[in-house]
Amino acid sequence: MEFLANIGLGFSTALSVANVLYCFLGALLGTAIGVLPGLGPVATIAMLLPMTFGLEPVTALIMLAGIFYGAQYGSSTTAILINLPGEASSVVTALDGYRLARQGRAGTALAVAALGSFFAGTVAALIIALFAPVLAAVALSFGPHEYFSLMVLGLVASVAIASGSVEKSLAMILLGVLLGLVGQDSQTGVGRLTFGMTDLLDGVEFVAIAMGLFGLAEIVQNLENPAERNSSVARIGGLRLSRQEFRQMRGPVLRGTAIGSILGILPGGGATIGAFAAYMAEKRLSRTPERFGQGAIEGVAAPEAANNAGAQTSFIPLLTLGIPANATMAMMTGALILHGVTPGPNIISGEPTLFWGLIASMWVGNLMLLVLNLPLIGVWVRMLSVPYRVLFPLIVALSCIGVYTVSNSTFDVMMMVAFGALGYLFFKLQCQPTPLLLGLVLGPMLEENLRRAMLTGRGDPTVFLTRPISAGLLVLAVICLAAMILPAVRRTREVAFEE
Amino acid sequence: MTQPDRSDLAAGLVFIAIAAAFAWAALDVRMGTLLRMGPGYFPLVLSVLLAALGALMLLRGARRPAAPAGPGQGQGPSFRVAWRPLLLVCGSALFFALTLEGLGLPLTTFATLLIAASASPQFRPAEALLTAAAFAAGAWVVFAMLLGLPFRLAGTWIGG
Amino acid sequence: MKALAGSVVLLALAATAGQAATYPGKTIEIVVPYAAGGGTDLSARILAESLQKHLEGSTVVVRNEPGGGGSNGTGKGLKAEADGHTLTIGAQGPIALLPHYGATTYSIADVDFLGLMGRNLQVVLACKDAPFRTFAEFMDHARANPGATLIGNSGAGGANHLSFEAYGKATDTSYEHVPFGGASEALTACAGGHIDAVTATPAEARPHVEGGAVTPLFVMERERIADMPEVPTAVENGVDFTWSSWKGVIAPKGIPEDVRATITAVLAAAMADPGFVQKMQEMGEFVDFRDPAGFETLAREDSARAEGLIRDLGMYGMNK
Repeated sequence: MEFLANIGLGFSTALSVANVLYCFLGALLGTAIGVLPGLGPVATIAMLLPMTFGLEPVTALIMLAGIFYGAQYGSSTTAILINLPGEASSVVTALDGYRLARQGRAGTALAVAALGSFFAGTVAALIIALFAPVLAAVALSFGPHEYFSLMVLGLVASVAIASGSVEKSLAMILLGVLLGLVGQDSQTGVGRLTFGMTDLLDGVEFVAIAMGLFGLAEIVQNLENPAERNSSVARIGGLRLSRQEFRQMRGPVLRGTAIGSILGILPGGGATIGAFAAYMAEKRLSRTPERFGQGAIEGVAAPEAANNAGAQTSFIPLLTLGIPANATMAMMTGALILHGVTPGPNIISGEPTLFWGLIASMWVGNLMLLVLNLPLIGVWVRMLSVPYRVLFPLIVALSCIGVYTVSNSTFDVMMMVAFGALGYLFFKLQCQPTPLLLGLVLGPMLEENLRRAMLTGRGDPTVFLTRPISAGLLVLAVICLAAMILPAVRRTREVAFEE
Repeated sequence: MTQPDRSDLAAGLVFIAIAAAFAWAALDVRMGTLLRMGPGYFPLVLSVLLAALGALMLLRGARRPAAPAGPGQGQGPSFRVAWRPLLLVCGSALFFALTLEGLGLPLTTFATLLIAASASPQFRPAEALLTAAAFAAGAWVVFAMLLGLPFRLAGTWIGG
Repeated sequence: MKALAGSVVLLALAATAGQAATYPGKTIEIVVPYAAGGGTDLSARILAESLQKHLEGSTVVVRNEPGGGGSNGTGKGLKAEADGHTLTIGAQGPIALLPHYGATTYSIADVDFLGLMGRNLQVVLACKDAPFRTFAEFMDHARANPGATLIGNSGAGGANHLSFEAYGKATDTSYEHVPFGGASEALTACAGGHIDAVTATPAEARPHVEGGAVTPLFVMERERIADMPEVPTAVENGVDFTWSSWKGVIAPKGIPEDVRATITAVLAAAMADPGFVQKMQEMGEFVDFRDPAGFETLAREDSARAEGLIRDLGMYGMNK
C-alpha cells in the first residue's frame, strides 16, 4: 500500500503540466544533440545544464532525465543509421542495427530499439521503485577482486559476439586492453606506451577509435565493394513492425532488460558490459546464431533493452549511496548537487517528492522518447535515401567534427584517421573490431582492479578464488571460453580428418 | 584446398609485430612485483599473451586450408587494397585535422567534403560543391552558433 | 552585501576608465582544465554566471580542456594571449604539484594569481569494519601495524595521496596507499569495507557518514569545521598537521595593469555575490575568497611543501 502511495506521489509530481513539458523539451533537445556524432549523453547534459538553473529542483531533474534518455537514444540512432557509435554501449547496437539499415530495414531497427528501450525503461523504473535500497548493498559487496573477475567475464563475452576465429577475437581484446593502458598510469602517474607522443599521455580517445574502426573503415569498404556503391540502402522497408518481428523481439527484450538491470547496478562498466552480455546471451540461445552480425532483430533488441535498463538502474547506487556509477551519472550528481540536493542514503526519506518524482519521470521520459521518436523514424529513414556518394562525405565530415568536439583536439582526429586505416587492415585480416573496443573500455579498470586487488589481498592471487562472488564470475568466464573453444577444436579436427 | 590461409598468416604476423612494439614500450617503465605492480607489469604480460596468440595464428594458418571466415561471408575479403578510397577518405579527415585551427570550421569542412567526395567513382563535381557549401554553412550554424562550441569562423592563418 | 559589491565594481570601473573601458572587447573564456561535470567545472560555471552579472555587457563562456590531471588545460590557459579574455581555473594539483613531476609546460612562476575561489577541506574516515573508530585507536593501529593499514586515495601522486604521505611523515607512521580512480570510487570501496581508511571532503563524506557506513576520524584543518563540529582536528590531538586543496582564477602574466585591476575587482564582487556563495555552499564547496597576494602566498607555500614530499617519494621530475 505504501508503495502505491509513493508511486502516486511520484506521478502526481511528474505529470504536472510544467514537468511534462520540460521532460518533453529535454527529450527533444537531448535527441537533437545526441544524434550528432561524438556528442554523447555526458557532453549533451553538460551543454544543456545551464538551461535548468532557473527551474525548481524537481523540474530541473526531470528535464535532465529527459535530456539523458534523449541523448542516449540519439547515440543509438547514429549507430544504426551510419555506423557511428558515440559511446561504448551503442557499439553493440551498431553491429546488427547498421546491417539492418543497409538492407533497407533501418525503420525496423529504429522501431525495435525505441520499443525495446521503452519496455526496459518501464521495468527498470519499477525495479528501482521496489528494490533500490536492497540492490544498493550488492554494489557495495563488489571489491577489487569482484570487479576484476567481472571484467574478465565481460571480455570473454565479447569473443562470442564477434564471428570468426576465437584466437583472432582474443587477440583483438588484448590489443584493446593494451590500447586502453596507453597514457599516464593511473596508479603512479608515469607516462607509458606513448611511443614518444605527448598527446597520448591522456590515453587514447574512445570516440576517435570507435569512429575510425567503425565509421571510416566501413566507408572505405563500401567504396571498394561495387555492389553496394550505388545507393545507401537497397530499398526502404515499411516503418511498422510486422507481427513476426514483434515475436522475434519479445524474448530478447525481456532477457536484455533482466541482464541490463542487474549489471547496471554495479558502478564502473556495469552498464556497458550489460549490452555486450545481452547480445552474447541471445547469440548463444539462438537456433540460428549465424544471423547475428548480418542484421538480426534480436541483435538490436537485446542490447538496446539492456542498455536502457542499465542506464536506469545505474541511478540506484547514485540515489541510495551517492555513488555515481559512470561519467553520465557523475554529471547527474553534479546537476543534483547544483540544485541543492546531495544524493545519498537519506534521499528517499528526506526528499520523497524528488525521489519518487524522478522515478515516475523516468517512465514519463521514456514515453516521451517513444512519442517523439516513432514519428521521427520516417525522417531518419528518408535521410538514408540520399545517394551514398553524397552521404558518405557528410559522414566523414561529421565524424571529424564529432571527434574534435570531445576534447577540442585535432590529435584525436588524426587518431581516428590512423584507426580508420587500421580498421580497413583488420577487415582484410578478418578480425572484427568489436572485442577491441570493449577491451579498450574495460582495459584500464581491469588493470587498476588487478593491482588494487593485489595490494588489498597482500599479494595473494588465490583470493580471487576464495571470495565467492569473484570465484563464481571466473568460473562463468571459463565455461564461456570452453564453450567457444571446444566446437572450434572439433571443427579443426574434422577438417584434419577430411584431409 | 591445401593452400595456407593467408588471412591467418598475415594476422599472426601483424599481432606479433604489435605485441613486440608494446613489449618494447613496456620495458621502458618500472616492472614492480606481483604485490606492487609497476606501470610496466600488466602491459608486458599482455604483450606476451598477444604474441603467443599471434604465433598460434601463424601455426594454424600454415596447417589449415583456407576456410570460410563466417557464415555469409564466403571466402572472406580479397587481399587487394582499394588505395583510392583508402587514401582519399583518410586523407580528407587528416586534412581536417591539419587545417581546422588554421582555416576555421567552414572552410576546412568545405574542403574536407570535396576531398572525401572525390573518393567515390561516381564523383560529380557540381553536386559535391553544392553539398559541401551547404553542409559547411550548416555545420557553422549548428555547432558554433546553436551549440556554442569553440570553433573558429576564420582560422589563425587567415586572420581569424 | 550586494550593494557593497556593486559599488566596488563601480569604483573599479571609474578608476580604470582608460583602456579598460573597452574591456571586455569580446567573449571572455574561462578555461577549466577538467572534464565537464566535476566540482571544479560546476564551480566555474557558477562563477561564469556571476561574472556575467557583475561585468556589464560581458559574455563569459566555460571551455573544458581536460587531460594530464589538469596540466593540459592549465598549460593552454597560461599560453593564451595576456589580454584578460582568457582566464583559467587554477587548482592545487596542476599549479603546486604537477610541475614537480616534470610533466608540465609551465611552472608556478608563469602564473598570475587573480583570486582564490574556495578550498576543499579534508576529513579522514574510518571505513566499514575497520579496527578503529577514533583518532587514538587509529594511531595505535597504525603504530602497531606499520605499512599495513590500507589507505585509499583518489589517484597516486595527487593531493589526496600526497596529503597522507605527508601525514605519515609528520607522525612517523607508514601505510599501504591504495590508489583509486577518483574520490567517489575510493569512498565506495571504503563504504564496502574493502580498505581501512580514506580521505574525502566533508560534502563527499556526509552521505556515507549519515548512512553509518563510515566514521570520521579527524579533519586536516587547524580549527574544527562548521560542517562537522563533532570531529576533532589532528592539531588538537597534538599533531601539527594541516592540508587542504584549493581552486581560484589565474591568467598568464602580462595583462595590462588597468584591465587586470578591472578583472580582480569584478572577481572579488562576483565571488562575494550572495547568489554565488549560496550556490557554491549548496554544492558543498567551502568558499574562501582571497585577493591576488593572499592566493599567491597560499599557492607558493603548498608548492614548496609538495616539492619536498615528491622528492622524498623519489618521484621528482619522473615525467620529464
